[in-house]
Amino acid sequence: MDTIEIAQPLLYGPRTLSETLAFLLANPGSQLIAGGTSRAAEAPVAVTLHLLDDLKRITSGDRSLDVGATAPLSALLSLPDTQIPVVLKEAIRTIGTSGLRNLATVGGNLCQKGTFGDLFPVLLLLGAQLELRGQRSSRWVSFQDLAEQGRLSLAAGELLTKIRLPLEQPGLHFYQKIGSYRTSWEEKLSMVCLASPKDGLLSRFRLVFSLPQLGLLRSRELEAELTGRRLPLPRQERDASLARLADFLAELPILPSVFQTERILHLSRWVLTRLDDD
Amino acid sequence: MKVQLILNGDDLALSGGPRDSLFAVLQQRAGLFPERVCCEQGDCGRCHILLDGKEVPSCLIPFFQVREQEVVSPEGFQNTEEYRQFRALLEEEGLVHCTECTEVQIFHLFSFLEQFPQADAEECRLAIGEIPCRCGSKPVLERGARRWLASRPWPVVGREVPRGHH
Ligand SMILES: Cc1cc2nc3c(=O)[nH]c(=O)nc-3n(C[C@H](O)[C@H](O)[C@H](O)COP(=O)(O)OP(=O)(O)OC[C@H]3O[C@@H](n4cnc5c(N)ncnc54)[C@H](O)[C@@H]3O)c2cc1C
Ligand code: FES
Ligand code: FES
Repeated sequence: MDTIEIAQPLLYGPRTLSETLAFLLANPGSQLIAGGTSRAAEAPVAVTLHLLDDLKRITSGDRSLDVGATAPLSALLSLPDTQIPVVLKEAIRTIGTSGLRNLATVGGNLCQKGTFGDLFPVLLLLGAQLELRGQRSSRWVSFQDLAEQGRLSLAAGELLTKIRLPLEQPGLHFYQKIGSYRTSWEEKLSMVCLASPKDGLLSRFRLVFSLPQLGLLRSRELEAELTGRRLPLPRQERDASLARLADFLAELPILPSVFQTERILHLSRWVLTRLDDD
Repeated sequence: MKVQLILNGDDLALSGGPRDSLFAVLQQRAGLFPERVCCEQGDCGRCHILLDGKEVPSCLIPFFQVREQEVVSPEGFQNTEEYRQFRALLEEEGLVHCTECTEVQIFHLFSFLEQFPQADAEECRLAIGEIPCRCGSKPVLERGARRWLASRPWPVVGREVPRGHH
């Protein structure tokens, strides 16, 4: 392992995963730096992951894609569309600039403190899983479990090492982000929708919104209600679904801002109309 | 702290603090990025460099991270044949030099096209829009990008990843 500096902060640059995990176990308060773009709080001891080549690797299996946690976002954009769900590429393109995406990592996006990075809702709907490793443990966690817990919590000494996502392309996908990284929370949200129309029926429908102050918003009732419906959806059915969505939003313990509520309803209407078109 | 690196082709050691960004050290110790108004937050693209061939914002890179790596700044790129060719093509499309952002735009667009030779018109447009510009150079750059990509000998469809057993 390289010790990069002796003064504060102590910066460590391990070259293998086992060195990293041993170091994290012995120094539980240390700050991990992947791409370093989120400029997380500065701790007296920092560990940079940029020398761990194994953790940058992307490999493709028959039905899934394994993405090393420190793969830069741009590495996923370079893959042909047959090797990655296109909706994930669309979400990545909205993050920062092309230069930033060469630095920012997939794992760093998912492990940001206090917020779900923009890739989280997309990976959730795609049915992805995370590999978390400690020196004496290794576990796979689904994004679904994390969404239910409301955050990604790592045990002391644990590292996100890999993201595994199924390679199946949804029939239709919609991704929209409103506001940018620096927009205030009241005017920011993103939406991911995956849908599969088959033989005139909506065989699968998943819709999630991500709001900075609330995390993920997903109405299972709406999804269940629309799944199996015949397409095109008659206008009254569409309006009734949107009315129920409005009720769902109004009953949340923490309310979205007026701007966010309007956009959620507007985007949902847009998606339901597009299902009819396609 | 002293860090050994290759800067614009020269092997050298630069000194900086452990919390300094690469941008701060390049500006203060290597005389690069003179008098440029920069955001130092990863937004404006005016501090971009190539780090081992990839364009990155130097304001977000901890200085220590470039140890033994190769860094090329826009100043270094301007001494290459590729720069001369690309600039000549943009001038044919009507590029007007502006001290504010022309060099930054050329460096950024060329790096982007090298990394994403399969980029479509919309992706090029988005990449060009990443550098704030008041002079309206975007149409020129968009035309230049299209011509540069069209002049490549064959289309590139993306980089296949190795197959593993999951
Ligand atoms: C200009 C700008 C625009 C941005 N735009 C967006 C945006 O649109 N959407 C968005 O979601 N984000 C955005 N970001 C935030 C950030 O850049 C990205 O989320 C990025 O993907 C973070 O990755 P990183 O590798 O730089 O993470 P880092 O900053 O290195 O790390 C982030 C956090 O995760 C922890 N961490 C990193 N890797 C691991 C790991 N493998 N295991 C455990 N913990 C880990 C770190 O300790 C730290 O707390 C933006 C940032 C900037 C500067
Ligand atoms: S100074 Fe603006 S992106 Fe680095
Ligand atoms: S060309 Fe003048 S600001 Fe961009």
